[in-house]
Amino acid sequence: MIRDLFSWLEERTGLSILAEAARHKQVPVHRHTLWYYLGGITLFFFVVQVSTGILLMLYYRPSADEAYESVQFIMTQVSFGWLVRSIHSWSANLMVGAAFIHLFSVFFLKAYRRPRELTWLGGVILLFLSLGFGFSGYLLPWNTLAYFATKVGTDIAGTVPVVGEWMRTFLRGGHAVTGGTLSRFYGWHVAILPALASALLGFHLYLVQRHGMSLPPSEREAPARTMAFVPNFLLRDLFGWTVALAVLAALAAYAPWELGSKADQFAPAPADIRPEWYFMFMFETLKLVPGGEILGVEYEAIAVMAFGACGFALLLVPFLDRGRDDAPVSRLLSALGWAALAYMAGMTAYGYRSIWPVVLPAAAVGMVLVMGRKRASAAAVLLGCALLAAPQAGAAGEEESCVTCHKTLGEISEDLAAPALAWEKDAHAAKGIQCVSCHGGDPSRAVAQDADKAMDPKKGFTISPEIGKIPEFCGRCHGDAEFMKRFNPAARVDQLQEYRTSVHGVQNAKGDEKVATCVSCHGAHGILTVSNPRSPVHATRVPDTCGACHGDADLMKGYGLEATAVSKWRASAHAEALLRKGDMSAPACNDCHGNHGAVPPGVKSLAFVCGSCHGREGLLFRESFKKDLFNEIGAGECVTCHGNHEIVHPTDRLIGTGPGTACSQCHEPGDACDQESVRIRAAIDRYAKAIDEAGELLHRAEIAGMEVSEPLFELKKEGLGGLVETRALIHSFDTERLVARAEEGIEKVARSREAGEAALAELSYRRGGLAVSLVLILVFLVALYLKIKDVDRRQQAG
Amino acid sequence: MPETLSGTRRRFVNWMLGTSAGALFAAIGFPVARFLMPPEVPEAATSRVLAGKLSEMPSEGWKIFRFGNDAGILIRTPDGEMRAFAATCTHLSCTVQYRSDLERIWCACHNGEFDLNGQNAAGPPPRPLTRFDVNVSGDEIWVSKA
Repeated sequence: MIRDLFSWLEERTGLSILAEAARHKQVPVHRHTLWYYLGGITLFFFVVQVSTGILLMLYYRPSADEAYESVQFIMTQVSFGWLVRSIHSWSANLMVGAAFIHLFSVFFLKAYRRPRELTWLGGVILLFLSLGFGFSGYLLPWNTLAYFATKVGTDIAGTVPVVGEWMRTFLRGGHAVTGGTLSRFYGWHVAILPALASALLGFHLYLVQRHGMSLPPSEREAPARTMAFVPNFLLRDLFGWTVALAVLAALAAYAPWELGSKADQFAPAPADIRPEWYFMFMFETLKLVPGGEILGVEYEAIAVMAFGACGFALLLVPFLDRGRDDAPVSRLLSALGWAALAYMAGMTAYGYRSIWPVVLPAAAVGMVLVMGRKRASAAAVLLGCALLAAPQAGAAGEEESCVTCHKTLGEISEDLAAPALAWEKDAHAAKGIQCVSCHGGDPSRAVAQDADKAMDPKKGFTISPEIGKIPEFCGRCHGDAEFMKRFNPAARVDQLQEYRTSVHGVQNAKGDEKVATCVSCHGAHGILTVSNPRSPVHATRVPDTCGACHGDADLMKGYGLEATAVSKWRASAHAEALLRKGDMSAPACNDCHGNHGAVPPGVKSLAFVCGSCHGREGLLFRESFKKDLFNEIGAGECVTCHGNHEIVHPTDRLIGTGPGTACSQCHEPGDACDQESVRIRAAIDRYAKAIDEAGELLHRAEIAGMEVSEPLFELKKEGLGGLVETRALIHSFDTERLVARAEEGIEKVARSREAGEAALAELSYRRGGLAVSLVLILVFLVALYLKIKDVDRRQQAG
Repeated sequence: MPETLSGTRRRFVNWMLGTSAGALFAAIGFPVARFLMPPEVPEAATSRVLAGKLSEMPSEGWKIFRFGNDAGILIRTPDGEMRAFAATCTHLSCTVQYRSDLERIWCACHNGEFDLNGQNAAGPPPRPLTRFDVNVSGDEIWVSKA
């Protein structure tokens, strides 16, 4: 029956000719025979890649929105998806590794010589295609590391003179690495490259069969021993493939390929950005290339082109080395080959050393420096625009004679020129307000040359109002709703009223000339809008502005105030958020004391003031029994425990008994409240510890390659929500409520912990399954070994 | 002349080879066959996710659900309409909640408030919450990226 089928096939295909050729094929046996197996192993990995790649295509979705999630889906929801994906990733790396070894072995054994030039050419192109597979496949999971590595990789292509920009756009499918790049890479990875590689591989294998195995020059003197390709060599090949399969399975189970975090196009590049290992030597080399250019070509572009030239030279090896084995060209080529191998290995090792903690900060600094340079360029463009725009802003209205004259008075007195110079940047000037609007007088050009006429008191001219009258002076406009509407319908007009209720306003009304008025904070000329970062009333500059007076010990002494408020605030969590983290919503002086109506918050209103941001805490405190108690004894509400200006980030150490805790400021050790605080602290500690332990467990599972994003999500919800909420409940001073919430949270955390334990158990199960597979492979290898020996013996026995 | 295997031993080696090869193929075929069978959840929750069920909506009128790797908030408005937003506060990334007394989405960390369109309405949040589309199919509430 089977024989009939073969006859039927043979009649139509004539494929027995191939079997016949294979039967007659002999493989030389010598001390370098081992290297003959590398091509077969590379082919084996290619077959694994095609098989697992086809499987992955059943679930993978090539779009920026779905790629990461679909890989996550494969790893968590699809049966054995974790195994298929891990094998695909590992096999890709092993295929490139095997291809490199195959290339170098062929090179050093001089197997590329006539008549095998085209075999070599096809092989080198296949290696380049493998690198293309690696480069395009790296991006497909759409994770952070791959995203930025692709960005850098395609940027490098862009440095090539003339065609670089075109190449980068072609590779990316646009100007940036986007979802379009992902679709494009997917197309390359699953259609174009496989089509090219399959055709070329067929040609390569045909040539290998046609020419047989090359005998290295060093072995030509000795009597040639051979073995039959079928079955002797093929069985050994099978042995090697089975070993490779065992290695793959072990790697997939013991070192599953991590997925990392989803790519965020707007996130900063991670510090450990790196390409796949086989691009590392080029990546590291380019990093060492200094900036600069020669004849208009950047050094980096020269290095990229040099790598391109090396690749081209690799293709030409058979045509460069056509002489005898001991010819100088041959020896030079061998030396160059060793040098290239040493360079690639050395730079790859150096590259991996460079991500060690010692070198990491330096790399980060390097990247920041590069990015800084770009930022500096952008800043220069912006500055240029600003400089171009500034005269336009100044020209918003016809320049008055006041400004014209005062600008020229700088030669006599800088004080006379300063207001005119500052005025050009003033927010009022931009709205068309002129000097005459505040100072009166006659700004017309007709009297420009006559200062007395221009500044005639009869024409309403005043130099500047008395300090006591400044608030009213500004308030003429800023308190006039009709007037202000012309410029901004939403503008406030209650500043003067507020000011009069403030400590500053009250003192001002008493004739105190040292107290702050409008100009003390806003300036007189050159007033900038609040949103302008250079304005003295911009959120980040308010502490400096208030501190100008409130940090002056001599001045404050007169009012019985300490001059340390601002310096204490600078050490607070609020200052950290505002000045260093750039959180513009973090409070400076005015957020608690008010702006124009500046006054210290009253003892009874502190929970409202602090509660304007810390709403939950404020609400809980106001509802607690402590609210009335604090008011009775005249204790400040929030400040009793947290302080006022020097508020530091609260930790659990504030709670409980003993020195350093907030409670111990009022309570004696062992009293009823002290005991309650111990209970509270114990409940919070238990909850925090449960979260930490579950987190550590899940982290262990995650770095072992297990997909635990769901329990991690739940744990994060508890960490960010539940624990914060429990800590906030301290402000209710309701121990039972707090402890109950902590226990509820601990119960939820236990579920995440169980999921982590289950993930680790699953990991053990997978490894157990692998152990069974490895035993099977081992039995097969032993059987194969015995078979090979038997076949060899039978052949030798004749 | 090298010694060759006896017939029995050769048969044993062949049997061992055939059996272990069969077992090996089974060991490869089993995971592949399992992989080919689609899981119960037919697709990755990427642009569309089952956020919950109407019958299981908490009495408070809101719940947090998982959307990819991020949190979302599902709210039943006073009019009975279902709305969904990203649940990460745009200020310091705390998870927001719904306050039915305020009829606002509220971030407890720094008193940030968003209206029922996701617009930042009060407090420090600098940007609105991303709004998602909600489709109710029978008892199921499906949320998708708008």
